[in-house]
Amino acid sequence: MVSFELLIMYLSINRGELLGLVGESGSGKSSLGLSIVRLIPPPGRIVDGEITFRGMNLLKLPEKELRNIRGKHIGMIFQDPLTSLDPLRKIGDQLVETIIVHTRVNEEEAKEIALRALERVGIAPDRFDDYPHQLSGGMRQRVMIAMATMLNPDLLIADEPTTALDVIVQSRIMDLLSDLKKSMKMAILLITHDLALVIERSDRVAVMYAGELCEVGPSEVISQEPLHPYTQLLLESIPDIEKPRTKLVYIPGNPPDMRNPPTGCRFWPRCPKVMDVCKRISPRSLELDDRFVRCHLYNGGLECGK
Amino acid sequence: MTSLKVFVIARLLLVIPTILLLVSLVFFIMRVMPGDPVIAIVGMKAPPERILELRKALGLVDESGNPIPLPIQYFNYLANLFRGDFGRSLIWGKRPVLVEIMEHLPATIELAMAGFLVSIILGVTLGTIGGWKGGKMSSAVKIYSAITYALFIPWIGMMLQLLFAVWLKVLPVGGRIDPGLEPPMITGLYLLDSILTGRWDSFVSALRHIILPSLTLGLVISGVFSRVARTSVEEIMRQDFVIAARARGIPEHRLVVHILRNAFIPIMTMMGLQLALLMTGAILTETTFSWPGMGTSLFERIEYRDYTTVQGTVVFFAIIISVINLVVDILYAYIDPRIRY
Repeated sequence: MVSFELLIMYLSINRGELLGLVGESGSGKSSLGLSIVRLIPPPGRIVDGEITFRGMNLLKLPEKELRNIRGKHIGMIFQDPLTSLDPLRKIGDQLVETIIVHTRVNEEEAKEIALRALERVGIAPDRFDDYPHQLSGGMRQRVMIAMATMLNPDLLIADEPTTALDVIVQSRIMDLLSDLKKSMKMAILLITHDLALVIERSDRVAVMYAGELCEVGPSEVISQEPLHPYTQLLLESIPDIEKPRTKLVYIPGNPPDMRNPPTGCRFWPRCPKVMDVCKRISPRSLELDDRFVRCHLYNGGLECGK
Repeated sequence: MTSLKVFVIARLLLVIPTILLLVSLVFFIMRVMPGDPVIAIVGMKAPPERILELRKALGLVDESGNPIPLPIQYFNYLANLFRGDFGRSLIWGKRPVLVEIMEHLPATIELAMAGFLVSIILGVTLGTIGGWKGGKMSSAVKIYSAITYALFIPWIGMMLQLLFAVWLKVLPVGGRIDPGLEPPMITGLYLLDSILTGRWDSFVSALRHIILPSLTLGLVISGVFSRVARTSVEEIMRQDFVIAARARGIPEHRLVVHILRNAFIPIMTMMGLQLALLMTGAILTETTFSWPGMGTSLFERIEYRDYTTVQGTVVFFAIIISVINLVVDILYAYIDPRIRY
């Protein structure tokens, strides 16, 4: 049995806030998103912890009650909008089904709600009877957003919502998410590997590496003054189109093999500021004003881990 | 015109070249086979009049005994087929081949349909359970698929005959119905005809006779269905849209419907392919159970080297199979909106 460990120290998200969760592929961002609604595909499982939503611990909730929360109070959108929709059913029917499952309205009223939701994301009503393959990538993602937000959820988990789309469509989808955040006072967890996008669009940033949270803080603060060496390197590796052409900066090395993660801080094999203590002890999270960082550099390099 | 209508028309037109290719293939295969068919039938020492007569019957020479060139033979053959003329039997009193086929067709259709029904019920049910439950259930279904698929029809047929007919004596060994109980001819399908005419004694007898052959045929073909159903249900369950549907709070009982509908596409492809295999399976089953269908008839005619009947039957099989594929393709387009021309 292979085990992948995902350690999240503490992460919170507030109403009307867009939190960007960034990390490399395989760093556990999507697993984090899926754990919130307890949809980690087996053999994965949640060992311990607590996920508090509207005062309830989602990890202790019976499956039936959780099902009412999924889709109604917590919406989710995924990376590939084509494969996230049932290819054999009209998009309208898929919207209507979701509404009927969660509310006590009849088919007619459900259709009304669905049409309004489509209108809000800029999809014409005559698309109601279209199949997913008849829509463009951007339109499909709009449909997914409409479906995830039509019941006014408190939290929207957007797992790489723009990765499969081109830049223009990406920017429109991000505008749409920002509007929804403001108009519906929704909390949005934006999961992505695109740090530049997160810095630009989100209120707060959380950086993940190899299943662990490295740093969390407001976007402007993180972009101006990153504390964790990983965040610093990530920011340096964003190419700047206004500067003359230079060599692409990257972080040497590869993410660790999660079946056998390094001891101590998981970033130490690639860290330019590695110290002895990093190899032995996992750093403790340190709170500084409105931000968190987990790095021995800010513990005075002393052995003050657990 | 809707795209579905266009698709159906285009697909219908596509049947014409398919059948043309099939009948041409049969024609040329019969011509390139080694040996003189006429000598093969009547023997080396046959009188020349008899040989000439057969050559004429086969369309190899004209009235005055001059050989007909191959292209003309081919053209005549196509023209005759187009008129529904499959030629005449060389042996059984020179009866038209089409009459021979039509006489045996209902028995084969009845057996094939019953076998198909058994295989779908067994295969799709087991496969879906295996795919849905996963784990040990999935492995059990995997083993079932491998074993049933590897079964040899005459062997399993004889084992069933031995068990149910010889030892337990609850079902007949072979045949289609007890003598004298044949229902009046309407469709030629005994089960259906006996219901339509209210002949319950005939119905019971026909049902008792069809159980073992259809079980034999159904068991063997269900292996393929259970495998396809299991893998496609497993595959669909891993798809993003299933996770997305769960993330929208869609309850499991609704999810099953969506998954099955999606899983049904590969299952239906398999059904189309298996219907073709069913025809060949029917030949083996028919000979094992002395079932008086096209398979038994074809088997007999090959032994007697009745070329025209064999050729006609093969062409007829080919046409049936292309029509089945046509129906499957149209059903496809109906279920899956992505399939259009």
